[in-house]
Amino acid sequence: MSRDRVLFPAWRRENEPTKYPFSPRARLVNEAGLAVTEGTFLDASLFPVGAAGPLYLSKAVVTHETAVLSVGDAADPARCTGTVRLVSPAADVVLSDAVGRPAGLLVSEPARLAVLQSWGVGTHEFAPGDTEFCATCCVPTPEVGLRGVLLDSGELLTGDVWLVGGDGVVLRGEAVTVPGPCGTQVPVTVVRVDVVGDPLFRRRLCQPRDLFATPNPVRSVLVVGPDGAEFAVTPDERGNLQLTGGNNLAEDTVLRLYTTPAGVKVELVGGPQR
Amino acid sequence: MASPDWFNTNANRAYPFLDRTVARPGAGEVKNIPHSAVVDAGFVLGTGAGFDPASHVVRLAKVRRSGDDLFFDFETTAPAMFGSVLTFRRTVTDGRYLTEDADSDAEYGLSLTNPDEACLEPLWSGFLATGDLTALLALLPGDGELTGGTGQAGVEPALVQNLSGAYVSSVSLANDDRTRVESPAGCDATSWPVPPEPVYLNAACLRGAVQFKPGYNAVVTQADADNTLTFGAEVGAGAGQPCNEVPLYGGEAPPAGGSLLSGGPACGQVLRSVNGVGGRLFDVVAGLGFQVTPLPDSNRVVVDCNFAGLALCPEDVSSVSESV
Repeated sequence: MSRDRVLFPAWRRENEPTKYPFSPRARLVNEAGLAVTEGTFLDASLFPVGAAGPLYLSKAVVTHETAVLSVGDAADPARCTGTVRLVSPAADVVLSDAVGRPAGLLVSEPARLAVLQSWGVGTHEFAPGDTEFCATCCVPTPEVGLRGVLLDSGELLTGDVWLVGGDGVVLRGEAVTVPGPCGTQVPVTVVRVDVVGDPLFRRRLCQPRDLFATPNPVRSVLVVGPDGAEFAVTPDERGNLQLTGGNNLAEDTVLRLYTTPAGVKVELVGGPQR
Repeated sequence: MASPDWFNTNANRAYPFLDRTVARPGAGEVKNIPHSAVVDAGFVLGTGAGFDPASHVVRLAKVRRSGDDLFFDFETTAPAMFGSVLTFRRTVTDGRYLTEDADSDAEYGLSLTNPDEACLEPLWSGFLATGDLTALLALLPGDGELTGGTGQAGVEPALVQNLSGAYVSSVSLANDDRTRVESPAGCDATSWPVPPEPVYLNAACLRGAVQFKPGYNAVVTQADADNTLTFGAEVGAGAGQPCNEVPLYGGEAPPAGGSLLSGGPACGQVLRSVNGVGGRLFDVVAGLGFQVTPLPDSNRVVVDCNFAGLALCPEDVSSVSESV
């Protein structure tokens, strides 16, 4: 038997016979007696958003085709998950949280991940002490600030998020200061939301928009007198035009103008023709 | 025997690169660099990097020498980061185990419409610790470079923290264009003082504390229990009803001849009723002594006071025409 000793083994080869990336104090066996063999995973980098405390491999749901691995902490055992295809698995298990944000990965090799098939179909749960990861594998990622905007549809918006005022809504940014602690003034940005409606909503809703024929409303009435003189009459602030019968030069005019439910009636008063 | 420290160990193995991707034969190639050149590294891919660890890698793309300067250029295979290189610089006289942090030159954030340098973030960042450069300098005795490619000097995946899509870097505000009036058939086209755009940027790159404030007819509610914001509309809520139109951007003006920002006529500019009688049809009824004649082709109604049916005909018969 060779007594040769590799002084500086490669990183993964060095980890192979150790519990790494699990903690040295991890039992690597769960209550049901299922053991996680050393060397199944060779490295890990875990950064699920909001994780507090040690992370551990909390659950493995094995089917005939896949194994879904859950990693979490005591507060949330399933902060992130990764799926291993049991037939021709990939080298690494990429983890993401419930809304699809990246949460790290477990480094392995296809041949090593094949051992998950031997776990048997079913749900295999682990306690924190069974499969706790090394602290060096866990990157603190506190859930501070705005991590994402989650829509009702389940879609998560990240990066530079644009808020766009749509139909009848106007968004405006205003820089203001608000009272802070100890009498200080804290600068904040206020997003003002104005719901002002859309006066031309019928045009907007018409699909295709070309179907909407722009009305050409009456804006003024052109009056032509008997002598050919013209003048335009526009409505008042309520859009009303008032017609009155009479003459400011003669109080006893024979002209009568009546307003009816559907319009006006004009006539003269006097004796009928004999 | 004393245990060799972390850098010293790595100076004798591929780490932080994948095993067998460095210290391999290949003149002029990155895979030829010795183990001792790089002893540690780590990278953070920003939220705009589009990095997918299942299919993308970080690798040392090039080692360049220019005079006494050595440059280590790292790249990723993420398409969104094409051309984004993270460069670390050393001089040939640098000692062992120097660590340097660097940000990429390429940035993301804003924007085609209103770039604001304060809003930009590097696509990615990282650190590099180098070891003894003697063996590397033997490969680059003068100006020149070692070039890499697929399968060369790939970085251990656990050294890459991927924050693609992991947080909100900033908030920008914009408004869709309002529905604008279009000229009726046969009329001149509406002339806008500023050509309409599909979207108007109102505020870019809002960071820090952002508050939402209900304006006209708006309701904004916050539920701490499920960490939600709900935006609603209610007549008179928030700041009440607006007295004037709310512009989409500073200086928005109505079109020529119009008084509303949408271009349509105001209420008082449309004849909606006569003597308080409105509706689609308005009757003008001729009684005794009058005759009403419509002239549809000229949009005209002739109201003729002809005294027809009356016993006495005055000498001066007047007529009034109305054009509608």
